[in-house]
Amino acid sequence: MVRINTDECVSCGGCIDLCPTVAIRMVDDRVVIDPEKCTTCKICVQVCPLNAPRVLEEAG
Amino acid sequence: MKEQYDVIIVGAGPAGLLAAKALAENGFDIAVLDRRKDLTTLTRTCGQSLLPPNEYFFGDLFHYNAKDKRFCFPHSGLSFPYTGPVKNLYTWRMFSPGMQKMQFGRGQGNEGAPIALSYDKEVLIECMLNEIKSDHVDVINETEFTDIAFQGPTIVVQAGDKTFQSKLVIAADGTNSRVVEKLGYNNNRRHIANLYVKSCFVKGFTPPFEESIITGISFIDSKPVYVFLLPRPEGAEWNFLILTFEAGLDLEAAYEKIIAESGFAEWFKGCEKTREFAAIESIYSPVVKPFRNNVLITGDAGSCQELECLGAMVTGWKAGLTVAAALKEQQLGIAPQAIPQYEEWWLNTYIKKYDYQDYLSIFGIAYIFANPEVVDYVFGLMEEPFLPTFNPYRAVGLLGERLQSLIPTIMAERPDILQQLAGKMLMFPSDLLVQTLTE
Repeated sequence: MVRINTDECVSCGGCIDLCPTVAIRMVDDRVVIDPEKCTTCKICVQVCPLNAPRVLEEAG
Repeated sequence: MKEQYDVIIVGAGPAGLLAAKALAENGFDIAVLDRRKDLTTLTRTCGQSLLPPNEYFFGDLFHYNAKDKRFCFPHSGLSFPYTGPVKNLYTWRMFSPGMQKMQFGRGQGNEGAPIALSYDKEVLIECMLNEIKSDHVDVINETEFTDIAFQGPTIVVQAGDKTFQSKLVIAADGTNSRVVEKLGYNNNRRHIANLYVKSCFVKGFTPPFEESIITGISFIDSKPVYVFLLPRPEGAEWNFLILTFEAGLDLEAAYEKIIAESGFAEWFKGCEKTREFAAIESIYSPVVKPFRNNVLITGDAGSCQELECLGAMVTGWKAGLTVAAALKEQQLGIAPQAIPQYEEWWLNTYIKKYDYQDYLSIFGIAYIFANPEVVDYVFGLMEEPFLPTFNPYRAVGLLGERLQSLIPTIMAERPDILQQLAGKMLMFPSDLLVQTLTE
């Protein structure tokens, strides 16, 4: 799945707009990825101007 | 908070809030939905910190009434208080990578009329929220539009686990509009590029001229990057933006390079970042038909270009007035006129007058000239200052005229450049961008 690096993210919300599975939401003005809905399509990784979303390798 | 409203507006930016103002003043019950909790603090930013006075834009002429501290749009009959700081700017200086300069305005300080007004968008939004406070308006934050359904004449708007109903919906959710996407309108639009933006407020940037807009074309790893430095209305702060169409270009690294190695480096010595922002804009050809299924599109939601705050204000207000008139027509049982008029106005402004190809040609300059050496050469020919303007459409027109008059010079000095320019300038800017970016 993908996780947001909170040090890099400024909550512009661009990834929320462009996520095809609506897996990303704004919670308390922070960007949060719902692991249930994330398909690791990496579109958020491609569109983020600040490289904040990081792909986490599947364990095992 | 209720569940039923006359109109639901998606997005509490300048367009949505002014649409709400128009509707509330006509006595309708409105909900404005926004996913953010804090509606006044900026997180997403582009160049939207300047307004051009004395320039017709989207059918109006922005005017700042300094005596009463009001933003005025005389043609639309709109004015409202803006109590924040302002700063007048008189010249726009645009630099090539080798610091050759194009200048719009005479650069004689504050002797002439200003070409731009710098203002504080956070105060502006606060003023708008105050302006629309009434029993008729619910501004509902932390409520993100997720879906829309139609049950007879009723529209059901889903926002997470909350459900709302209304007769009409205004989509004012900006660039990358989810309403437009959900309704499937993007299927008929051409996706041209993504614009990636990193920006920050900086202190300690010290160029050798004041009250000037500074922009530049840079190349990072031979990829074009646009730099904007816009004075903030107060203190010695600047809004520093880096924009690129190039996917995968590291904007953080670009930022460091521009500060340390570009022609601007000298002016950045001792400079300090105070706040940080970002934006991503998915650029599509504009929506042609802004009203379907009782959903009206406004602001950036249906446009190709970023209309900036000015366009959002003019179009949002117009959308609110249109929907108010349409609801009254329904009540009276008379033939609908308001919506057809809005559609006609949309065609004339969004599609014809502010042609998105012209907009793309502004951002396509670096792709037309293609490399730093050519940008330096062309900028070097533009010594004579242009008329004062910060209207990008006007600027690109002036530049085009000047280039035409310089054809004999370029033909004599650099026939290779003329051949390159001729080929690229004959292409539609959208085709040029799509072709270059997918190469």
